Amino acid sequence: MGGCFSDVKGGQQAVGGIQQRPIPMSDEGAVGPNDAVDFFFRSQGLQGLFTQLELSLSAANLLDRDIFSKSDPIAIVCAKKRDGILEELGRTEVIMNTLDPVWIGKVPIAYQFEIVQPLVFRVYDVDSKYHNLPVKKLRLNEQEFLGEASCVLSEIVTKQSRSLTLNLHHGNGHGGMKRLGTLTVHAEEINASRKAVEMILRCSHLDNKDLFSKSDPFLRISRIVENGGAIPICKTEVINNDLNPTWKPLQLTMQQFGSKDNPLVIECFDFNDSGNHELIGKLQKSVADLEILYEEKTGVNFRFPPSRHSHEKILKGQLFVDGFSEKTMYSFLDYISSGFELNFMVAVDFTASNGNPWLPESLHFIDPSGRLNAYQQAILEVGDVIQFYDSDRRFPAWGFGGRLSDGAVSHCFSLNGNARDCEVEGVAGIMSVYANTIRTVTLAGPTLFGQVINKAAQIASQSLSYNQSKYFVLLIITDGVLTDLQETKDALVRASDLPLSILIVGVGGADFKQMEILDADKGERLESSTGRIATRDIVQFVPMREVHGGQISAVQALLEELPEQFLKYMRCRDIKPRIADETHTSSSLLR
Amino acid sequence: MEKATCSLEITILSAESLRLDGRSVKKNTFVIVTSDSNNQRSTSMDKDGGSYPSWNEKLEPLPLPNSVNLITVEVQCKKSSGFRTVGTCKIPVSDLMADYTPAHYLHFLSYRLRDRNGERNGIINFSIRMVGSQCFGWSVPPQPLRIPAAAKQKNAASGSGTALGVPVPVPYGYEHGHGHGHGYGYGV
Repeated sequence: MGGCFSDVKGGQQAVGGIQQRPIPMSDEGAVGPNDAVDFFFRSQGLQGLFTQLELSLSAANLLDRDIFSKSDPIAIVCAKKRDGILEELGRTEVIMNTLDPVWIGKVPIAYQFEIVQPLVFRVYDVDSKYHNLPVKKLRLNEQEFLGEASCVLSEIVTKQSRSLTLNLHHGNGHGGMKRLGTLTVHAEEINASRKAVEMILRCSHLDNKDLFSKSDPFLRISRIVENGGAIPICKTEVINNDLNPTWKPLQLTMQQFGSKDNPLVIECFDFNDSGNHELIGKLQKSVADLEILYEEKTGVNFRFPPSRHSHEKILKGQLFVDGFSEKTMYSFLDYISSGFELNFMVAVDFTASNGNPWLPESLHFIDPSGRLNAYQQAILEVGDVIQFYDSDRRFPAWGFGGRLSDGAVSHCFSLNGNARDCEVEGVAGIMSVYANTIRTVTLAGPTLFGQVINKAAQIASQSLSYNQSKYFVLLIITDGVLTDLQETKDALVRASDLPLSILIVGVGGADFKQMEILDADKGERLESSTGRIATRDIVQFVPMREVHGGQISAVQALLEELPEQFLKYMRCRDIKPRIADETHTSSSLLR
Repeated sequence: MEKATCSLEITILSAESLRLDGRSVKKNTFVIVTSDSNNQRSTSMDKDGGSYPSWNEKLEPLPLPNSVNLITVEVQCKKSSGFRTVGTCKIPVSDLMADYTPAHYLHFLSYRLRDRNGERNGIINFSIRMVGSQCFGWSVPPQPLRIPAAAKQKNAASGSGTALGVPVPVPYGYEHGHGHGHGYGYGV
């Protein structure tokens, strides 16, 4: 079993606590110190990547299609795929004889922050002759169509009530005069348990398994599932050369351990570079048992499982619980649905290395046929996802490395030409100011990110004076090599203390090694020239490469880590979402 | 007795890869923070973090006299031979008010430590916040710059009861580097 730890450094890390989310699958092939756990989480749809939601539906003022009674409505939820094809996600039950149904049947859906998830809802009146059929068997084309509505999933979850009311219309787009009623969609997290426990585990008198030194112990905790198997949910870091180790505080969420009475297998291993970790001992306890151990300050003995040669042995080594506390962990959606926002900003590279924008080879070439260049693609893809999290949808947009009409090179100029107000309306606004600017600004250089980052940092820190419910996301799209890496590092280090994340998309075929340095999760923490060190990793970098006409969606990888970066910022400052069922008063006043 | 115009609320979180005489530090490290010769605070000793100690310790407010521009943070180690300095860093007070952050913003900062010879020796992580009504004298007022429209709007809304979290200094640390120095607080 130990073979899943592929490298020593990675293998010695703790995995599966709340802070350590599964390493996102990168296109470099995911060096996975934690692949087993990671796979488990992914397969269960837990932890960050997916959040399982349930949609509840209700409708009002539906059309009355039946002559002697009211309609018998059913609602269908479909996901609209990229190619426009609808895929049914689920359907509600049929409710008899009502024009204002409140359906009980819920439709599950996996919420993914990093993609736009368009949904289509259809409501039908089910003819009474089908009433004995299970709803799954109903053929929709035999039912009477009552109306259709669509939205994207993030529109629902960003609402304070997590409910969105849509007007039903005819699917074909015309005949719009007639009122078809409204449909209300409510989204709720499944397993929305915010409870977690934090424990400090310690062992004493562990067996020595190493010849020339003491054991290098770590713990692996697995949950016993219904069929009797055990699924690993977390492991601690390795403590070298110690038979009485105390591990760092370990957090387990309710999702991980199931319930407090669910038995957990706790195994203690001696870490081995080869991946062939030797079992020191194991025992079985539930979270409730561990809490009792903590209260009574007693230890429990490890056992060594029976083998062909020997019976089960009770070992001298013991496990102690030195700390036990229950915590509340808020999810990304808890924040987003209680008024927290992601504010989007864009900076575009206007350096000469992009090539003459009037020529088709240029990365900035605006194709009259409408085919998007790499810059447009990146703006559109990232913008499409993030815009829903920004209530006013006004986005600052800058360029850097371009020569303006006054002849000076600027490393941070407003794309709308307005030096005082760099904000534009919506993603469409960014697209149009970009297309205009590329015709008026001369590409120049050098490539410097510092001013753009500082500008974004300034906006982020100014907003703190007013409220703490905003988090900023700066998208930098660039084709190349930084002229001054240290200048950029200095700016990033200063910004790392602010509610800001920076996404860098590399376009074209340049060597992006520098960018990998900035993206600190692949190396050392960034250090400024004055000795200050980045508080946290706020940079994500992805190259956007074209592969035979269709681009790989680099954007998903780019956005995947944003919710976690957001949470880290909020949690360490103990900024809590306001979870309350208060009616949404502020959103209407915003306009 | 309110002499100091402003004080600093500091929580020393952790340090990373500390070495002494070319070897990893074993135990008994602590941190001293100094604003001027009259004002000094220190943590208790970390017993079991080795070269990755974590304290998660909130210090008594440290007065910050107006004349002080640099705060000194020093990691020391208690050896049988006495106290030894492991590494030091100097924090410009200006780092606490950079980029128009509000005067009472809770900063999470990390600095490179250097040993007696000026060689790099580990990293220190802490959170810090200015407290006291006089601190505004230090800070750049946030008004003169153009406030983004979004911030203004939101501000208007906040009066009507938008969710606002108030930062409370808790011993939560960021997770650093390779899973070390992760100072998650417990027993608040």
